[in-house]
Amino acid sequence: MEIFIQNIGLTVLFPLWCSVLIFLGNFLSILKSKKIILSLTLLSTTFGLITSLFTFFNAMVTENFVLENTFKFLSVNNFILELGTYIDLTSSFMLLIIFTVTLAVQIYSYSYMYNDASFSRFFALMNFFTFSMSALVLSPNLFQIYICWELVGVSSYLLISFWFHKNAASNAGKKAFVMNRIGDMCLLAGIILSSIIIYNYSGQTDFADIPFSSIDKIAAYLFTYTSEPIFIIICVLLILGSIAKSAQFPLHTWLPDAMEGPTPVSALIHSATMVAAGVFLIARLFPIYYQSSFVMNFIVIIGIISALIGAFCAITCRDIKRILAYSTSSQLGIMFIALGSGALTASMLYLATHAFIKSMLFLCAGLIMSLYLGKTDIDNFGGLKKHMSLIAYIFLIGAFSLSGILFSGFASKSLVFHHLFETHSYYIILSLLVISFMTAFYIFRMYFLVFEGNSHTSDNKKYSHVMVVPILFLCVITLLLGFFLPKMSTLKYELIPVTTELVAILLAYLFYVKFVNMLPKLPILYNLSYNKLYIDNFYDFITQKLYLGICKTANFIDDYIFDGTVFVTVFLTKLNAWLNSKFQTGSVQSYISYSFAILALVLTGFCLVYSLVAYFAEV
Amino acid sequence: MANLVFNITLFHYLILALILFTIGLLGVILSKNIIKALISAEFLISAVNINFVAFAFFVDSAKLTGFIFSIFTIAIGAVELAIAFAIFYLLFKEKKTVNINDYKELKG
Amino acid sequence: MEYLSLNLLIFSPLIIAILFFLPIFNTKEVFIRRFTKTFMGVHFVYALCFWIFYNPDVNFFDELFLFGQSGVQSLGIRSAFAIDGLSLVMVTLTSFLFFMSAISSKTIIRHRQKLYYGLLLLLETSVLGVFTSSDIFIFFCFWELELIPMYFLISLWGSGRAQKSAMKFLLYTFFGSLFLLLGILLLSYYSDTLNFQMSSLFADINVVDKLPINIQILISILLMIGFFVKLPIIPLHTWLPNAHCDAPAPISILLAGLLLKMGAYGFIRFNILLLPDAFKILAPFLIVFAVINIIHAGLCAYNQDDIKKIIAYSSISNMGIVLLGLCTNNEEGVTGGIVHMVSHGLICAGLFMIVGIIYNRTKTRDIKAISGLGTVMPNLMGFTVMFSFAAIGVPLLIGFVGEFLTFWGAFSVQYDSYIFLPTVIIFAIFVLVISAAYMFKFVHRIFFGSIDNSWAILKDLTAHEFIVLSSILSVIVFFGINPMSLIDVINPIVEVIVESAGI
Repeated sequence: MEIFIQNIGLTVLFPLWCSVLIFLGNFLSILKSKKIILSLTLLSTTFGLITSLFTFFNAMVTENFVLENTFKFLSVNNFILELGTYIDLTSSFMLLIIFTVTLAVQIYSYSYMYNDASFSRFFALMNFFTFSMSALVLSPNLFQIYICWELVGVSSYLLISFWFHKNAASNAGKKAFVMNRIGDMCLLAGIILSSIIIYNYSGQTDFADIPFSSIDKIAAYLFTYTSEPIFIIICVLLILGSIAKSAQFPLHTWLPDAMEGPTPVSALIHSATMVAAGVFLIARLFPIYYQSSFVMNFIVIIGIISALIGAFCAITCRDIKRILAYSTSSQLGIMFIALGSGALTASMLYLATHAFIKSMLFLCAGLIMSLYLGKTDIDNFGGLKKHMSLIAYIFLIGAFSLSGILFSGFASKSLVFHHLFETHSYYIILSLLVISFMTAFYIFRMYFLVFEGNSHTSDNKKYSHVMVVPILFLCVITLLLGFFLPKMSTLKYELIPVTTELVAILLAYLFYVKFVNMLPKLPILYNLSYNKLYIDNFYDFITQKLYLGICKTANFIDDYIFDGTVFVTVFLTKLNAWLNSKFQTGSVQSYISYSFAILALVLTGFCLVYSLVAYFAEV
Repeated sequence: MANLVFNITLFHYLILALILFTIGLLGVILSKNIIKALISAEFLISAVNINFVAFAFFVDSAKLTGFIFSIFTIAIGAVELAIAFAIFYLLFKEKKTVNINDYKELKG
Repeated sequence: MEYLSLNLLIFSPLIIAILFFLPIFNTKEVFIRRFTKTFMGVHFVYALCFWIFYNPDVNFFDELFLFGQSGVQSLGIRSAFAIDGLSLVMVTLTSFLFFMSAISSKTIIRHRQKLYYGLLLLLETSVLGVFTSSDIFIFFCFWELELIPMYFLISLWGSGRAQKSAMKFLLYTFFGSLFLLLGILLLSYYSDTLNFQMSSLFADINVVDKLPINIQILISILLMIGFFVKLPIIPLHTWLPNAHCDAPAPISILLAGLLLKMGAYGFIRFNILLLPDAFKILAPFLIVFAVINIIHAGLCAYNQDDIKKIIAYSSISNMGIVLLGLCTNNEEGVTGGIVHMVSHGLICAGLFMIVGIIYNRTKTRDIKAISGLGTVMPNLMGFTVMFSFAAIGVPLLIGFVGEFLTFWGAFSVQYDSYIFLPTVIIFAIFVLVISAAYMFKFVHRIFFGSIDNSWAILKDLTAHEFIVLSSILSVIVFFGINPMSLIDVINPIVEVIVESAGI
């Protein structure tokens, strides 16, 4: 057990080696067998899972368990940047979630991607993602977080545009990357600013890379050595990094588009692991943020807005994967709310339960899609319960859990509510109730439309049982995880949200099963929701019109002012040359006459000037 | 008659040289025949030579530099003439004319 | 260390070039091509030996004796060459990129190969001379010498309006050199000893401190104009897009990878090390120029339709980062600037190679005409994506190290009397998004999306191209994972720079 914990760096490196091995092996045409690729991948992931299990239990039983292993990556002057691993309860917990979901998704992708021509590229990238994600949660300092932040962004981008020949996938990848890049930019600015403040003002040069082992001291330094506005700016910059990665308002629009990638990618990266990195980062830097109530409120407000927008857009969305994507954005918003109101543990537990539920739902959606030749429009489905009752029940468990009525979802949500009731934050509770209502409504709308009602097809669909195993695995975790969470047995805190959600389910049942044509028509709301509040259009305007306009202006300046000056100079020179060439007649005699005339002029002028000077000198 | 003894000074030589130079210059500039232009160029050289000798005689006490220079100039003039005639001969073979206006190859 | 001859390193390409034109030499083009490649490989290994045996305390120093004399003694000109950390990095990079360029020439240069390779070797000597000469006069000679082969290489083997672009390049650079020469003459006029040795000039001006500050600023600005044309810094950059576009791919590699670095190198050697007092006064304004450069060129790159121009403008933008790093006056920033010089040399070389390959296959440089090449050229796409990541500064590739250190240095700049500076510097970080926007516009338009039928017959990389791209990429990855191996080499010179110019 000790040996696993001591060598936790290997859990990070194994996936990287796997990735390189698969990539090179495929490139040199040595490694073609899909079974070997899968077993290599599973070997490294299982190793990671076992290690993280040991580490987690060790962290649970030992109080204040911390283990740090670093090496020097970059050092200039006194600024030293170290990479390595840092384990405490939070990181081992995250590592456990990551490896569990990864294992399930990797088994699932084997049959999902089996017939794809780029099977090995997919697995190489998945392994690379595992590497960067596990390195992210094991970061000993903020700079390694940034490095891995970029790397997970890169692997996410490469996996979204995995089918690069599809225009939609290509655009979605670009959008995701550029939007994440905006967050990365803010994050980098925040990191550098805080690092410089620590480095230059506090005199603690060895804290310049912001190690998490002494984050409390750093938080104190940061707060002491900066004025209030600067401190808030730094915090907001750091939070903006989280906002982009966790698909929060206003940088959330990349996540629904990212669903163009293969479904296992959506299940792993865009619901369970990478998008949770933003929450993880806020949890890591919690001591810093905690010092300013403005920053905490900022986090809460961002969370509320994103959760509302996500849930609101999910209600009318017609694409099954996008519904889940909006739901992810909304659920991450709830984690932001929990973090911003100080419920650190509750939000981390919520993150865990959400990761399992959401990846399970995604895997179900992927299974359904694979039977319908990749169609994602909700109109294509209906009455699927008759053909795949197992999947329907699993989805139902997921839906109940996601809306927080039963199982692990209920347990984690009641933790959040408990904290909010304890701190009497009633405005937050109210908005959270609205969000819960909408969550239950959209997820059951999806369930009813897909699994209940009339069947559109009559043939019995056959699906690969290999794909069901990981779904069942995640389902079991969802069912059982609730029992391991700490209990808060106050009935009144649980009754209100559960009632709200049950009403929502009832409404969804009425609208989408019982009285299908009785749907109330609310055109303005419907249009707003269906068009995603026109945020996408707004961003399109910014990128297509505004940014391009700025670029065009810059180019105009370049072409006509900078190069124009050069052009004018050249033109004047040429004009001069043209004029002078008129004197070049080819007749030697005229040259001689010119030269003698000029000589005579010069001599005369010289004599004149000389005599004048001599004359005035005498006078 | 005895009073009419001409005292030839430097000034006279310079006037002579100037006249010769002007004739030569006009000849070079105005003549249409290339041979005439060349002969006129020789006038220029002669004018310069006269100046050299005159200055040497009247100004230089050693009376050597100017004479040597003029000898050099005569020699170089002869060489130049030979080369020029060779070029003209080739030009004449090419163009079948001695008119200076037909040699406008230098025009850009 | 004594057995490594600097003269041999610098002048052996020249000797080979002369050898080509001797009548006894084999004139078969294939032979010349292979001979050049082999020679460049050996040369690179030799240059690597310098790196391996480098000891920061003892610099390599060598003098060239012709007819028993080293230079023009009466004028104080000595043909002396020296290598310190900075030169060493640049020399190795030069040798490496010339090797790459020679390999990649095979598919692109198909006529008058003897002249081509001869000029290439001449160019190598002149670039090496610039990076190693320790005498200002010799430096200037090599600086000018480099123009001649470059002019012919662009105009004879280029595409499009090659001759016009070559002429623009030549005249523009000459224009800059004019100011450079004037600055050098002033510099030597004001230093008593009539000695062009950089080290003695350095001692003269710095220790005795007898040069009036306004004269220093004048000289500094004159020199700067010369270097900024090469670097290039807005508004002296307009030769670059044209020259890069119309040059053949192997020459674009050298233009972007080395010739731009000559400007930065000269800037470090002269403006920072020789005239530190003037530099201290000018640095805040240079930072403004650098930031404008970064943003403006980045925006321009997004609007280009010509794929080579996108890379050319990105190159300008990156040189802004280099200047920003050098002007920060702290160790992190200057290290970042120099590392970014190297990283940009490698990355831009790779990108120009890629663009050259695309142009060679499709015969068009219009971004709108090409789409979906990734389906037929997966390997090229893989390389392009990797190089793009490196170009926009993704970690674990060398682009990140330079960019990151530069920003770190720039953010901690302390010029108290210029309160506008922090606001300006903040803008520099937008390059992260801007660069991503134009690089991925390029990658997505060319490689992603559905393929046009007319491109379905294109062939993927040939062995030569593959070797070039993979070796450049491996260097990028190596230094990205292990940046200390580079930083340790340049650290002594960075300390000298910061000591002389620091506040």
